[in-house]
Amino acid sequence: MPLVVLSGLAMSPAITAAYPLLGSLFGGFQSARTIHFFATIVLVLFLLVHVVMVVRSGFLRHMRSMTFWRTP
Amino acid sequence: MNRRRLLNRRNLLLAGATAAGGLLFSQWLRKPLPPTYGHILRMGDNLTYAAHRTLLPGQSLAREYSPKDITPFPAVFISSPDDPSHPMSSEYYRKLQAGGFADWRLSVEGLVARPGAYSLTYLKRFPTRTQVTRHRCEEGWSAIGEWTGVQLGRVLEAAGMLPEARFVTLHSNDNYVDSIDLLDALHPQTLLAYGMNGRELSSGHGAPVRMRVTRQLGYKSIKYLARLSAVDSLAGVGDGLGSNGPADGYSWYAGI
Repeated sequence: MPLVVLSGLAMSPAITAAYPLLGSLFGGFQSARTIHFFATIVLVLFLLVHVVMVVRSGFLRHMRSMTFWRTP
Repeated sequence: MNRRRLLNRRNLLLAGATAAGGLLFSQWLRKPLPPTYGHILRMGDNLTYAAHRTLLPGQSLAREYSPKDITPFPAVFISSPDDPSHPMSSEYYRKLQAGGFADWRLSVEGLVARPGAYSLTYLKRFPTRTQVTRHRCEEGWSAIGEWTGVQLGRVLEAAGMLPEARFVTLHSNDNYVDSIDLLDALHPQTLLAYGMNGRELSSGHGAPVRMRVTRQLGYKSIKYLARLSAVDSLAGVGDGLGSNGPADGYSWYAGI
């Protein structure tokens, strides 16, 4: 998550003007873009895997405990 | 055991977020904002703008490179220069080009004490600035070029910009309009560029003069500049959106 946020900020011309360290941290604009892209894919995969886990371990029960029913 | 404390982690986070939000919002109310364009996702653009203008130090300089870092630079939107709607193919532009842009004038108008029409020769008499900077495109590519020109701030100073001015609108010769706020207009790296990589600016790159708005994405650096105007509001500019960009989904503020 911090990687996605930071590499995203490192792509901003206004923010890297203010904080050049952020740009060099990721090896420049184009590298930051590549890292941002792959970090986003990892984040999406993380989300998908966890949604699958929720579904497989009892979808209704989790929905109920998340909302207003007590866990049975 | 009683685990209640005066300040637990959740309260601390909540208080922090509220304080930051409040601070941002109070700043936001005091500054003129670009128009929102009634689109819920686009409201985030103004949040970005307000956050940048509130939280970032004002006139920090973008990185400048050495001349050996210069990369090939694509001249975009000239894939079909024979297209009659393209600024390069208009009768008007061809005539200017044939005359070496001697008849070209940059009209400086609006909230200025001395409106006028500046020729290329006149602009070149201003102190020049040459900078090697990176152009970052919305599409994801970037390129480094060397730009020579006059700082927009110097031209506005010469024209005597009035204190009521809040934005500068930029018009190309094919009536594309864009605008920037004064923080960017007076930024030392915001140029009216007439030279690129040690030569005169080529037609593909927007000859005779194009903008360089270094701290925003490439599409704010408009080509074929014809007119600029100091204004106190963007109400009548670009259908009230301050630019022709937002209608096509390009954010007005592109510091991103």
